[in-house]
Amino acid sequence: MSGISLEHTTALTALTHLLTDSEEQQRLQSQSQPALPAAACGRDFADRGAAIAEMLRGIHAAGTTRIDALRATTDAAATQVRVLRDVDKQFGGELS
Amino acid sequence: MIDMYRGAERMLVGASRGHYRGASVAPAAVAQALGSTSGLQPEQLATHTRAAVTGSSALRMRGGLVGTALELVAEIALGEVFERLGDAAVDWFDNRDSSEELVDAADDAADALNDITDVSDSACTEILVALQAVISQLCAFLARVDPLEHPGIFAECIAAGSELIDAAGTNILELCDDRDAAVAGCLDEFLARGRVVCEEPAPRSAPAVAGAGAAAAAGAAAGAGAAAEPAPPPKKLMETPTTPQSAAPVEPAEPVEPAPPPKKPVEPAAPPEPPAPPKKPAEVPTTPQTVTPPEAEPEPEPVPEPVVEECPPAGGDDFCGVLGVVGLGVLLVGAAMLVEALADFEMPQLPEDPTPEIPPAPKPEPAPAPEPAPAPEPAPEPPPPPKQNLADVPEPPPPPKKIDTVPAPQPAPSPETPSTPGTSAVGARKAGAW
Repeated sequence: MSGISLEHTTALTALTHLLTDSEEQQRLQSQSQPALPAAACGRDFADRGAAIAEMLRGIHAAGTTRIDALRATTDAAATQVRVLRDVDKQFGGELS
Repeated sequence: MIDMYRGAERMLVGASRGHYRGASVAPAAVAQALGSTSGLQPEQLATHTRAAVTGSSALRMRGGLVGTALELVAEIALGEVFERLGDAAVDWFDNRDSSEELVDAADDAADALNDITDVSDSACTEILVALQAVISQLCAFLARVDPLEHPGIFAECIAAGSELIDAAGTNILELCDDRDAAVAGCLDEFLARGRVVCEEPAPRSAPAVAGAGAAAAAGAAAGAGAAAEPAPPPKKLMETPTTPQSAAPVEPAEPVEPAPPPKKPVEPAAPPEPPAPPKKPAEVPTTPQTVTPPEAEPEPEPVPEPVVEECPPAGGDDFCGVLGVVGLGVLLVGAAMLVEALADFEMPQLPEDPTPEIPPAPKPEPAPAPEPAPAPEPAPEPPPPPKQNLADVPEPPPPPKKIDTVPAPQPAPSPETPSTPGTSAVGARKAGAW
């Protein structure tokens, strides 16, 4: 035991807020999609315009991936906290 | 702008009366160069970059998430999931930072593109305006000159106009090249920065955590084994509380020393705590009372070694107790022998003057007590006094006394009798003492 302090209620509350915010950011992320026309960079720079448009789509996808990862990890953390809470309560009841 | 160039060319062609056929830098080439950036919309670049990056606002999340997430990770320092939660949050915020930097870069790139196009357009316009003005004046002059009367002057004016138009066309082409290079460099730089953000390693996928099923299993089964992951920690928890309980009964097994028991219950309660060492020194002083020889402490000193472990407290007490008993026994035996020896020495010392040195004799009384330390000191003292007394009487007679004692039983010669009365008493005391 190395000074572990676990407050299930506080942890679950924080994780719930985190999950809610993650979902909100996920919704906002899906609402905005980059669509830069290749010609927006000039007639003779369409190739660069296409590359930039692809790059912007990649950035958007990376952000979406990270938000999804954060949301999934938050969900997993909440699940684990619940597991720990149940186990803690169970063994606490056995010891009493 | 290309119309201005063409207009200047046409003016000179008209004023030359057929002597000037056109500019060496074709208006089509100039139009091609000027139109290379047509359609460029720097604001679109910034707008779509912002749409790609700031669809989700990290600033909004940081207010409510970073604080809670990091605080949570700090408070709950267990589990791979929590580590990954922190990693995911940090990775997300890092991505937001780099992406927002890219938005700033897009804004800067848009501003730079606007500056480039504005500067190039204004430069081309100035060139063409100046060209148009000069060609207009030149054409007006040529209109008043008769090429038949002044063929030289007429030809020179046409050549000057042609050179001006060609120089303007050349400058416009060079200026467009520089502009295109600047635009390309700006776009390439922005693209490179964006690719750096895209090439950042993707976050690890969330670990497969035993979900509600495992929780239910853990809750239903008494740590049976349905949930493999949660099971181990509970076992440890069960072991830790049991050990102190088992340790409690072991403590009474050491009733030899009633004092330590109160300290022991404290030690098992804080087995992980390193402060155990300070407690042992507190115990050591108790044992030393039984084994006064703090001088002999070098032996108990090894006790600090076990101090590192949790068990040492009990073991250290045992060792101290054993040593104390043995030492006490040896001490008692030695003290008894010393008492006997002192008792024997007391007899001869009483008649003598060095009585003030006798007081140490009563010290042997505490010998049975746990303070035998003073006892050994008086023991060595008594033997010297008699020697000193004998030394105080370094008269030559002593040697002959021994000789006298041996031949004493034999017939004593008359001449020695005067000396024997003084020495014979001393010799009688020694014999009686031994």
